[in-house]
Amino acid sequence: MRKLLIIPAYNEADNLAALVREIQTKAPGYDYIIINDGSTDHTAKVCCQHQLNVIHLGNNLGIGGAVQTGYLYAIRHNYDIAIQIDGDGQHDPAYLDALIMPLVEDEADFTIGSRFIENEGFQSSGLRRAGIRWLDTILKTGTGLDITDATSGFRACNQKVMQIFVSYYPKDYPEPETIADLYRHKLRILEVPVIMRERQSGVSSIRFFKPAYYMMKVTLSIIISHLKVKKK
Amino acid sequence: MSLFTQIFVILIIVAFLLYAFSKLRKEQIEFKYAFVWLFSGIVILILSIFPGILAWMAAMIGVGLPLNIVFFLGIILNLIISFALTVTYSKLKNMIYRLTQMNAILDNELNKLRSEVNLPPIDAGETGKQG
Repeated sequence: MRKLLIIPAYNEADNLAALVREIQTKAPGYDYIIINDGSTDHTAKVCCQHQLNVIHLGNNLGIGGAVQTGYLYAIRHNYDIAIQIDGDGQHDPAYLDALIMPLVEDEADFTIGSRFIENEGFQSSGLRRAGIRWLDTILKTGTGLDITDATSGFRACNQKVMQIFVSYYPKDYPEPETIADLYRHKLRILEVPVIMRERQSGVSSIRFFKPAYYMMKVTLSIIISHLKVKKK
Repeated sequence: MSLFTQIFVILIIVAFLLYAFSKLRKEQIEFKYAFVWLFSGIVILILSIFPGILAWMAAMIGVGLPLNIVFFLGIILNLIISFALTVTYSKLKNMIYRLTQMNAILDNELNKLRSEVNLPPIDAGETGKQG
């Protein structure tokens, strides 16, 4: 089975080389592709120096557009499994095998690495956890799914899901909405316990006044996702 | 409406219609998008030539001042046009996203091919960026 890691990167010059080295030692069976989302720092130069496999987007498309590029690439190169992993070092490649196991065994179409099943490792701040719990509740109300980490960016999928993501992927704050989308397409979603680390360097994209917009946008988009025309 | 106001409005509308029409002739706007502007211009032109229609509409709907009907119609037309523009904008945004994505993927694939035949990579990370 061919497996691809999709690494969206916006100004992650300091983290990328170490992450790729970690992937190559801890998870040698996985290919990777870095999506440089129009970074303004030395991300492009670092990728060139270390000869990393990278796609340079000419415009900054945002996290949704960047990740979708990875899924397009995965389909073009006929990968069986695509895994999304953050470029900031939060996600430990040691958990990759556990994350894709349900896909390999055909027990799920889509898996999410959750830090709130075992409640171990980096747990984020209390306010962020409360926000995540609210989104979990919204998802549960609509789908009945017991998702514990709706915002997790550590997720794996098979080709069926890749096709859906290529035809539609939310542009900003995509993670919770895509879960509702996949549920609407009657695909099997499963969570896998993982331990996450604190980001190695750089800053999270959701800060200042963004949390308020984030919560509103994501809550509404989950509701709208439920109301979209059901596909056969 | 005084005769002066009437002539004033008619002149402005005719100038607008001529301008929109010349843009259309020079192929600077697509007919699909010019249509709604031409249509609303012609409606306002008819209303300013026959102000009686406005007075009649105001009486029908129960608006005291016929001029308020003009404002009301103007706002409604603007809403329709802005909404149509938002729809077009979203469609264009999706098209630009896919173009950017495909272009970047092809660039990655091209550089891989080049390295196979021992050509140096073309650096798109810095040169392909805008702004």
